[in-house]
Amino acid sequence: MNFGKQLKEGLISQNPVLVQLLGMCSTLAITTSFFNGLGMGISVLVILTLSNIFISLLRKIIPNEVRIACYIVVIAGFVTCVDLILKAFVPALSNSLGVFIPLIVVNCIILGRAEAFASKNSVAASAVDGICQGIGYTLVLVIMCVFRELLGSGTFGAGLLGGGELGAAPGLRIIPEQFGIKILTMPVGGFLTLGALIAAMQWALTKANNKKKEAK
Amino acid sequence: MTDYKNLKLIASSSPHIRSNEDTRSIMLDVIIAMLPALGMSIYVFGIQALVLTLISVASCLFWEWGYRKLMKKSSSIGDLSAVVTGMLLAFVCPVSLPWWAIVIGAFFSIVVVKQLYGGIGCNFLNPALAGRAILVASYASFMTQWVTPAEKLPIFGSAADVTTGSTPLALMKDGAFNELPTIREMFLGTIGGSLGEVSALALLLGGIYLIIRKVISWQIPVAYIATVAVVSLISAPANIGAVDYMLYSVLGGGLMLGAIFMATDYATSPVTKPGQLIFGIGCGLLTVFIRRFGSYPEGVCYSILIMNCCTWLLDKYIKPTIYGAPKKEKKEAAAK
Amino acid sequence: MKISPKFVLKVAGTLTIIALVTAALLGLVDGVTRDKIAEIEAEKTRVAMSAVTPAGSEFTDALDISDSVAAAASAQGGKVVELYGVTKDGVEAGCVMKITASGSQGTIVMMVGVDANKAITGISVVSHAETSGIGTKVVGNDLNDAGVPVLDQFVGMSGSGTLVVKKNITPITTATVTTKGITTGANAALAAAEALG
Repeated sequence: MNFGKQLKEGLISQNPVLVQLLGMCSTLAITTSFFNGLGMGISVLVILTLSNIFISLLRKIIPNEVRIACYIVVIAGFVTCVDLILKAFVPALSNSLGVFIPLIVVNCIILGRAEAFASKNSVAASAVDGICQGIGYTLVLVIMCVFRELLGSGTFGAGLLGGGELGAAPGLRIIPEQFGIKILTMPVGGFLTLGALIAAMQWALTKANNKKKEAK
Repeated sequence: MTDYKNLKLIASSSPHIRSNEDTRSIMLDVIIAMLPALGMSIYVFGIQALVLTLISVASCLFWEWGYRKLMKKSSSIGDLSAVVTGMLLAFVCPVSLPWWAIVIGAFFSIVVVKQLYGGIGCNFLNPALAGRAILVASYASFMTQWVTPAEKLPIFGSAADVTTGSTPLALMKDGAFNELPTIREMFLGTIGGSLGEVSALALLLGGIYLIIRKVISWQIPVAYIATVAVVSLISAPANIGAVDYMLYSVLGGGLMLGAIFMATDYATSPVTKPGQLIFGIGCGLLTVFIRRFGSYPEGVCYSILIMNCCTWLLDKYIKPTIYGAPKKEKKEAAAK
Repeated sequence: MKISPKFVLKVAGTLTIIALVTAALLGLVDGVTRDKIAEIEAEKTRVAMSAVTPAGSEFTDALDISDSVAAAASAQGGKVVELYGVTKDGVEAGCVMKITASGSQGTIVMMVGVDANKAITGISVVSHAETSGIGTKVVGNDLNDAGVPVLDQFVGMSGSGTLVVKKNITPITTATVTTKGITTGANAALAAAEALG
């Protein structure tokens, strides 16, 4: 088991959003404020790690014919747990993420990792995989949130910083409100930002590969 | 002695006819055609109209130059297409728009809509209109503030200091027909509206110049304007004369500007004549539908953008005939 | 192809056991969180209702919406989603309802309070999809063209269908459609209150 390698894969070379292009729906929809992105990222991280552990535990007894059904039952169970817990203890986050928490059930990252990794690897490796992929997902969400929030609304950390209740905090104002390019906070802005990020990632990966080739 | 090593052989498909017409000269013609409308808007809104246009042009040129430089591509500002985009972008914005907003609009027009897709000729949306759509979504309050005509703005004046009024189309939407300006005012352009759209007369002059110079063909503008006219004529509300309603519909808003300068953009409109007719009719129908049934008073911008997205389809099913082919083959090619 | 009973048992059995274990886990979590969630929901509704009724009002549980009330509201273009009775100092004091009506970009959900004399005691918007910077001015109760907070002008008005934008309701310039949406909701609420008797 190699934690460093798995972390590097989750963050960069096999980043779930930017390289595997999984879980795009939630990425586009909720990355409008730092609070949303962080909350969503951590929720997915927790669910992904738990489902990876359980699916890895059960990988020897789940019959191949119904494996997808079994995965979905396990994933849906954890998602509903997280949804209920958020509703009860962090209602602000539950309000602002709305339907996207229950929709984690159909987030391809979770089923994808269950099928591609947890069903073939040990419990410990699967847990690490869940954490690393979850961090990779959270990182992309947070980058997109910071970018869209800063240019779109002119603030940083709305929902968390700047005083006021959790979820209703105005955030730190960096650019005066009237200059905010509001289209970036709309779904269109999500597509534009994600496209630019994927392009930057591909550019960086190609450059790194070329360097490796030259070194050889 | 000929340097055979560095000799450039240009291989291109037929017809091999050379003409002096290139992108630069076409764009120059378009710029000349826009000058009457620019002059009219300076007359109506004051020197601020010229300042906003110049800022828009300068920022379009800057973004085009900056992007090509950053991506290590050949500079393309010499073809003047960025100047045209800059002028058109200013034309579709209210004169009271803050200068920084048009710089952001120019960024989206040039970098996001045009250069990211490969530069001139490769964009599938009209850059100026897409820039306007983005500005409307981002700065809705600035983009819907219509300065009353003849209210001369100070240079770099603040938008809060001017009186604003409704555009003729907004009045029509509310059914306030008795508050409308006269047809003569509408035709000359002493009305509220976007910077370049107010004077139908000046825009028509530009359009005629472009058709005479064979820069644009008549199909799209005529089909577009005629569709709007006919549909308005037969569907006029009861409390206004049908002919009056038609004239207001045709002269009001950005219809002339859109039909003559935007819908005819080479890269985003069909290449065949029948395709262009369908394109124009589609724009016309969508414009009337958005004006009548949508929540916005004006629909020219969105209808042209929507039809831009259909251009590939029109080009796919209405193929250009093969140049110089016998009639039979032409028919076969068309049938395919 | 023949499928052996043993195979069916194995597949169905495993799936059933996994489902049962998951269900048990969910039951556990639900037991812990149920009361808490119900409390938060009730508090949210109470806060929204207090905003549109005079201070010191008490609210009943959600009431059934009869067909005649629903029909009266839909005749005005709105829809009654929830209905609560209001009492003040032990006396019945009208009702408060959650109304939906269409705005410029989508549905506007609003709380409308109506007193015993069938006059509006307040309107607040619960959720909406109006254009940021235009429609949101109305939602945020900004000043209208006459210099009065746009939602507050409805307070005290009565008579379903008599509220008309640009007649007795002053909109915010450029946000007329959103103002019309709110007015539709207000008319629907008045109609529903009148149908209640």
